[in-house]
Amino acid sequence: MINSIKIEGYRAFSNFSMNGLGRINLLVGKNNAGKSSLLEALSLLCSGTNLSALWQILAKRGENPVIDSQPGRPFQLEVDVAHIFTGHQARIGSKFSITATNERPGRSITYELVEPKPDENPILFNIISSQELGGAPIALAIKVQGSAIPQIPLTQRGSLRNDVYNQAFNVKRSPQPQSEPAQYITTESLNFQDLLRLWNDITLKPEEGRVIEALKFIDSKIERIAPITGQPYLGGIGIYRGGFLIKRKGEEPIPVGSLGDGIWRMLALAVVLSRTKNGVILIDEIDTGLHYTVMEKMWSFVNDVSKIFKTQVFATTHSYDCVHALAKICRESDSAHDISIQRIEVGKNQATRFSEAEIKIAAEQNIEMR
Amino acid sequence: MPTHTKHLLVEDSATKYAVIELMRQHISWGKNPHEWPVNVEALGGVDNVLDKPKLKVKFKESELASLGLIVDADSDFGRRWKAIQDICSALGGNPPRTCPENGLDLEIDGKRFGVWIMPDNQSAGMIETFCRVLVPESERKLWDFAGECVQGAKKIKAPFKNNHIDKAHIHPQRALETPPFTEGRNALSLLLDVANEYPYPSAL
Repeated sequence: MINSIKIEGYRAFSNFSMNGLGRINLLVGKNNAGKSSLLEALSLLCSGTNLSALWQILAKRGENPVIDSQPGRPFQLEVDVAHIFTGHQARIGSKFSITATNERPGRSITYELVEPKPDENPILFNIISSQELGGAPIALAIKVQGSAIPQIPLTQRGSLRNDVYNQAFNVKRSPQPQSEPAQYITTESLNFQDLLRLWNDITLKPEEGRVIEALKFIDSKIERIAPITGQPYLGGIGIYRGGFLIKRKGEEPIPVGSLGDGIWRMLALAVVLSRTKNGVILIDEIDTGLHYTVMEKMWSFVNDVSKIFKTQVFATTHSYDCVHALAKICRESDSAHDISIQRIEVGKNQATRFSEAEIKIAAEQNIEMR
Repeated sequence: MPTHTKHLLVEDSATKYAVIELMRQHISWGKNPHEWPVNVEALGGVDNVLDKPKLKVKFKESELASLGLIVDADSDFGRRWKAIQDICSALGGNPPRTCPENGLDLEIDGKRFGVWIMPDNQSAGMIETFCRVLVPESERKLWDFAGECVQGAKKIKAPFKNNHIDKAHIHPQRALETPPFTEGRNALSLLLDVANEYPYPSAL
């Protein structure tokens, strides 16, 4: 479990630490304080050598360079790595590091822009022409737990190109001494392909029942849920939800998309929680799509399942109801739940932490933690 | 509704309204509590004001820029100052060895933490002791006479505690004002307006 984290040079965090982390950690703070950046940092830390976390972070934010299309030349999507560094500069020496301290074994990751050494990674460097590398070429050097992995070439715009990313993604690396990448649930939840993939791990297991139990928080008439197999790839035509049928009591099965946002959100939460064991789950704006009356049941579910599977949860929120529902969980019994609330503030190099005892006091005294 | 950035915690509503009235003399003050420049809260006793775990959480409150405490020294100033020093350290501050004459005023973690120990940051006593300075010069003789009344009452076994003598002093003072029970809103009269919750001896 990550007990504390130190971030240097990642986005707005030039030197930031967050301590006293628990099994469940709710990150609060104003808009633009860096809550989502913190989830990203955790995602990168947990992803190790796997570049998919970086690609997804940049793609989701739409951090792509403006590229003039050239006739006859195949278009390659790029993501601009400049913005992950404090100062938004893609130049040699730009660097960030993320370290989980007080953890055994410890975890750390460093991303640095360096002078390219094509011999280190000829397969990837051969993908990009010398014209694309430009006159002052740069490469991305990643160190995981202090061990460097082969450099990744960037374009002269400081961008990671899709074909380089795909090739790097396919390269089999030596296993790293770390757990699997963190599961990152964004505000859009998961797309149905990801959800179907995760569903395969829990199908016909007791976890399937847990998912239905969670869906019943939203709609007590739900009896069953089943994946639809053999569907063509639909993401390219803008279909995000789907892949599941839901059976409500006394009714014919209907596509999950026919139900509201809350069902889709809860489905994503429940499936991810039910199949991630000993891992890290990151949830951006956990209350998205959920009515305030459901919040307490949602936290109770997260608390129970994360305890069973020994998962560590980091979630963000702006919602008063969400914070107070978590506080209610803390107040329910005298036994420790291992919960913390951490407030992220612009310009402060340390998160303001509320321990479980302090969360109880804040709730009783109506003290604003957000 | 705007969020208060300045919070003042006091022992009781008598102190709360006396302090508000004092501040109203010096700074512009809104009609409704949410318009006040400082959120003043009466917590129902000194132990509630000096509750270390609660103060630690209060000091972390979102948007809080200043936290002030007003407490009575009561009969043992040294004990009260020691409690304030402990709280100050718990909040991450470095308290001085002795209480500054003008009260404690420290910056901790970018926020202001201030404490006034009634009556004067140096002596035993309470807000009612402090109120002596609010009595106009023209009524000073009345104040002294009211004091003599209280001492006299004690001699004939009035059942108030010895360390509440300054509380008891205020009641005859008010009765002796001209006209009695003036509606003038000064700090002293406001203190009296809410004084009924106190266990004053009915003999007075």
